[in-house]
Amino acid sequence: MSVRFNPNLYDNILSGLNNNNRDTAIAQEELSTGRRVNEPSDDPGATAVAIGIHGQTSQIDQFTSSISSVSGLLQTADSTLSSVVTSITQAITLGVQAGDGTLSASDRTALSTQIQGVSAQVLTLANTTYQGSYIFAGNNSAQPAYVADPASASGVTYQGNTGVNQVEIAPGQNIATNIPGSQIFSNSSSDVFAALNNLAQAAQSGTGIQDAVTQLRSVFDRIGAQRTFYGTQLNQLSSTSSALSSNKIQLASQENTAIGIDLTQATIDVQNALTNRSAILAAGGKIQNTSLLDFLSSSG
Amino acid sequence: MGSLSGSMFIALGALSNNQEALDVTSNNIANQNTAGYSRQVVNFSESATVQLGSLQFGTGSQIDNIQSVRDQVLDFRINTETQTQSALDAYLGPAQQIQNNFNEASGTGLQSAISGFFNSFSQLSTDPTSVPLRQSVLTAGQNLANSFNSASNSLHALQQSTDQQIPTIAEQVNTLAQSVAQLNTQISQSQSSGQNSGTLEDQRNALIQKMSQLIDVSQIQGSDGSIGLSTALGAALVVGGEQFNLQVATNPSTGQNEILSSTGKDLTSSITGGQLGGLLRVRDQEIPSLTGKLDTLASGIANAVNTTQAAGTDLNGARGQNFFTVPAVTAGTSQSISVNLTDPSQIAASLNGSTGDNANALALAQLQNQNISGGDTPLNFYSNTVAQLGSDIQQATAQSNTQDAVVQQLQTQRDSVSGVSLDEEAANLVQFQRAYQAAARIVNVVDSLTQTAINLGVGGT
Repeated sequence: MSVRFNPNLYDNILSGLNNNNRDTAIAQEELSTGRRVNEPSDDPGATAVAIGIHGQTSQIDQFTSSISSVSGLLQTADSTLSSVVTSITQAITLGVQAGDGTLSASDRTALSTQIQGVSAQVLTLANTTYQGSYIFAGNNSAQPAYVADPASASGVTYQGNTGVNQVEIAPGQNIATNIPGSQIFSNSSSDVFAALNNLAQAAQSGTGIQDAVTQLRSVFDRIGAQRTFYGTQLNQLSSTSSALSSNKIQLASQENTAIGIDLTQATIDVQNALTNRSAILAAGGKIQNTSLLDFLSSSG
Repeated sequence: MGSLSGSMFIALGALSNNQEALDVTSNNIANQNTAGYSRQVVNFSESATVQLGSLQFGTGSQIDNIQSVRDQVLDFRINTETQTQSALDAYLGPAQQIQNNFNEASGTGLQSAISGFFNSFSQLSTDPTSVPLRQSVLTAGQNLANSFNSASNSLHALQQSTDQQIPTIAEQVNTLAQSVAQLNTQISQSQSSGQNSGTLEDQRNALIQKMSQLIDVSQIQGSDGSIGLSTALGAALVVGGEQFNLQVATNPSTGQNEILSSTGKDLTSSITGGQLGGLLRVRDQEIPSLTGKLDTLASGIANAVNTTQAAGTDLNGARGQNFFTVPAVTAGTSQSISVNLTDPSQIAASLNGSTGDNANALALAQLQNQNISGGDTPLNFYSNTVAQLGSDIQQATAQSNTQDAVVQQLQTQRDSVSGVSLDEEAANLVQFQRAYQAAARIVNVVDSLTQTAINLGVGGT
């Protein structure tokens, strides 16, 4: 007797259809979500990569948000220093005027008062706040950086500290967000308040005006130099920010490579599954339509 | 020389034999779609001959037996492979549910809670005195603790629901074993009296296959036609006509169900086949391993954050208190972790004591890049954990697909031996029908010959 074959072919057809349904469902899920990996088991390695990418992306979003907060602070500081520079220029002009030997004492007193006004203005500027924090007080920023203090030679006392805050703006890259006021305004070798005080007194008395103006000029240079710090930081923020954006685009494309679908492939997969299904159904429809019994009965 | 009555006798035998053969054919056709049915064939043989003088005369045919056509080895193999298949399927069901908790592809899992928490410190570092930013740190901390709690709770709930299915399955195994034992008795009885036990064997095999879907089953063919069944560690379930009950007991330390043999031996950790094996794999391996990893992750983050908090000063000038409340041991951390701080001012962002200092907030944010969880960064540790889970499931899915194919193939092989073919039955039908007709024809001929013999000597008709 010849080899016997399984007479129940429908079992095979059924399991073929089951497998086909599974393939179709997978292909359609991929198309509808746009992702090749929808569960960790679809591709564990790619899932791990995706988790890493999501983590990096959310960190980049955070860095971007930090950059925008910090740049607000830095811009405020920068424009404040620009005003300070303007004020000092004004004071220097006043000092030069006061040095004119033809001026009367009352004219010089008037100029001296104006110089004191500039000094008060610089004090206000040094106590500038950003979102409630005094930006030139180091990181002791809850109190004004400077308070008027008649006992002090410069007429003010620095209440801040020398703390410098660092903020992370890119992976492993920190940026300083402030310079303590003591370094900008009241350095031991160059104190803007003392210089303005001296100039006001010199203008009042009419002696030593030239020296006082020279002193103020050197303070002017120093503050100008400090101001470049903020400019540099702002430049760095903007270049880091654009680096982060392109980094983020790169990550998105990496994510797509890891877990996204190849649209053409996915479409072909769906099409194949459907074609396959029709083929199985057609085969199933033809199988066992006839058996020997049909022929026996038709032949009588 | 034969006799007319001899021929008549032979023809009558042929009539009844072919009728019986037609019965068997009819039964085969009737059971064409019966699951587990093995086709039966009629085995004819020649009857003993009669010696008359120098001649031997045949005395017709007889039916030796009606035989179920089966391949015992194939049946055994189908049952063995079914155990593996059912174990994988039972594992994959709950494992898929576990996986849904870690659906990271869409970015809704624990990763966003971890990143969000550390990023909130980073944001705080841009303005360390800001109360709204401090509040968002607390919120992110609570969100992280809640994410750990809910992941752990859903694993725990799944573990319990898996555990609850175990007694029912053990009971089903016992019921099936009882039926197999009864069938064993009937089969050995009918075999010893020479009867056909094919139908009973079909039933028994169907029961054993059902049992294979539930638990590990090893079969031993007995000489009396019985099949002995044993499960993990060789614990007996059925020996001949005797059945041995599996017992279910509660483990006093875990509160979970254990499976004991009839003699009280603990089989739980040795059961790997059938639904029971799959469920136990989820309950005793997958979930505890995953919970352990979540605990390591949660405890690593919590302890590092607490330590860094303690190094800093909060907005009130006080030393930083614990950010998270966690148990003293790692186990159970993910389930019980909670935020200890009650007020935004308690976040220790400052290192030098000045309220505007952000150095400690920065240090807290940068913990995410340090190896604080099981020797790895939190996110790396977590992504490895998810990848491990994914690869367990991926592997089981692939195995399950292969196993489906194996069982399907064996089933096809079994059907090619035991399945009913209508073509074959139709051919048999015709064959037996014609034989029956021929025998009836002989009766007819013998009848007319007898008539002739009776009328011998009666004047010319």
